[in-house]
Amino acid sequence: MKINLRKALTVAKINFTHLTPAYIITTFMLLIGVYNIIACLTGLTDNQYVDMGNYLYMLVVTAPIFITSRNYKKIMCLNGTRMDFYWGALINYIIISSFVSLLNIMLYKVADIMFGPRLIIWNLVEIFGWYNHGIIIAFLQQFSFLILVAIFVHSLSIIQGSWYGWLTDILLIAIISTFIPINTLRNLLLIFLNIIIFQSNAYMQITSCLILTVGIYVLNLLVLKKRRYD
Amino acid sequence: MNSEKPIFIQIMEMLEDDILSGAYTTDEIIISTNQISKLLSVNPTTSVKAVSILADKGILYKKRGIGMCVAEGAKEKILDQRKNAFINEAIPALLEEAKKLAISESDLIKIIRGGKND
Amino acid sequence: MISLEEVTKSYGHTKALDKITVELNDNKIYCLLGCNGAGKTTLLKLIAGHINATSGNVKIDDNTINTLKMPCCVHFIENRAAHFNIKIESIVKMASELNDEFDYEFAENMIEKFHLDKNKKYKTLSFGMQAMLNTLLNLASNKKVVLLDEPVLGLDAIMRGRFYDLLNDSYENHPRIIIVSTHLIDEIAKGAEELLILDKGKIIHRSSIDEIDEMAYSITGTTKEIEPILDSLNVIGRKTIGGHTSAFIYDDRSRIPIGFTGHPIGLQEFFINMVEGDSDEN
Repeated sequence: MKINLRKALTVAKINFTHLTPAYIITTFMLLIGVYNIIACLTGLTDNQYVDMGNYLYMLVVTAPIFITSRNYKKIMCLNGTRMDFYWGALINYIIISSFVSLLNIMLYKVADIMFGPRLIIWNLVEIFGWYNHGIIIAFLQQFSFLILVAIFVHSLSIIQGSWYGWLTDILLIAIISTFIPINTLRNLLLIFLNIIIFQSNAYMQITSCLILTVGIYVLNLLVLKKRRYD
Repeated sequence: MNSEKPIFIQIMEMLEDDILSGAYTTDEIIISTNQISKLLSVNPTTSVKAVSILADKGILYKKRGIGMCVAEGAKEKILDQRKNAFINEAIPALLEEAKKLAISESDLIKIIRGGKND
Repeated sequence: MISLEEVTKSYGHTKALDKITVELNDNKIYCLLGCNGAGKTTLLKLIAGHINATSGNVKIDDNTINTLKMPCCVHFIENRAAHFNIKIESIVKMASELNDEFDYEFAENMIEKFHLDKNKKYKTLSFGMQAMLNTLLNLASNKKVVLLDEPVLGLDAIMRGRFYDLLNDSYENHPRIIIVSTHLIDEIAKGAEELLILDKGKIIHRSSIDEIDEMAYSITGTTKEIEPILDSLNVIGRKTIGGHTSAFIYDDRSRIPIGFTGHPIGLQEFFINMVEGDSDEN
């Protein structure tokens, strides 16, 4: 499963050039973000708004969906190999996660400086408690979480249409619908979320996210072997 | 079908061979043109052409409502035709080829008689 | 070079390929013949590493391959490939980026020769043009093994003629293994050297095209005179109609009894008989 860096980068480039739906959706969301700021500043809403940067998360969620559902097939059709696709997609997610993480923090910082005292700015970086650890750690924490999300969505998307895809869907729905109401199970869920997001120990958060990412992506190899593209 | 002679000629020869060999006797109905086309995987019009020419030559005749039949004296006609073709085409060609190969007339006769060429 | 050992491919209960064992070592243009559904595309996909065998091994250059360990020297773009809906020149560029050995110049030449409009988007091309583009991408790939799946489907006679020229030129410049699967048998005979016939998942015949030219023939006559001589010959099919029999034979011509003439049969007839065999009408 060696990586052919040049080919992987080519695949990544192809993916970036062919993610128009993802870009459109994200831009649309960003416009909502802009509207939020304007509405807030002009007094339409009370003194708080959801920061624009949060909407960039949409890119992290939509990109894997389109990469797996549309681009995979087309890259295979051009005699691309599955391993090139595997590593190429990973490069895509690393770049997207870094970009979104960086941008989100920068937007928050700028907003903080500009409107800090006057308004309350809702940004996940703050809510998740990452901002407290300084910009660099915050960037790494957000990056780790985002790439976990990307790989998770990628994996979920790529197994759709097969029996294990259905099984996973049902399992996830079952977990969400049953774990939340039942107390003890909800606590389990909260512990899990604690580890990967709200963790006060930044290094543990980063490590747990990255380990999960690697684990899920390794499992992807099994799926990729079987996944047809026609 | 052979790619050398035109197909309709090959069909004609096949039917003539059948008459010569006695497979078809006088007034017997021959294989239909449709059947010929299927058998040899050829265009029906080609089979029809072959049969018409044989009819024109007096080798076959049409029996209304039944099909093509072998005419009286067909066998003799075919033998005559073939003899003529043999004498006027095959033999001259043979002599020409022998000349090209520098085989003398007497050597040729010897070979035909089964002897060896020196 | 290419070696399949007891390869079976099943889709559910259907066996597309049944315990196929075959080796292709020499640089040649091979022709893969078979009816629809005989398993041609499946075979090509297996060799390219696009699908996995249900059992058995597919080896390229002595390495067992599968969808994760795809062979690096095989190039296969199918006819019905679903490309990005972008301009032809962009697709060619993309193909060249994904493949170091891609012969860009060759591709450009061919696009011009076949009057493909570089600026047309893929989905706006006719099916024949799409097939042409994919074939061109395959040949320009410069890989050691090139697979072409029904490359002339949808092309008119003139384009087909150009394709065969293109194929032969490409092979002359770069001798390698080219496997062409097709229905248009007699045409491909002009270019292909070896023929493999696939029927119901098995390889039922393999020989050089020349051999077929020499050994495949038909003898026609009345059933009475034909039947007796057939016992000593390798009969692959016969037609009995109207008291006559046309027997199709694959054997040494010297074994034809005196008095009978063997008429050469084209590849198409040969193929039909190998796959179908006998037909009897009174």
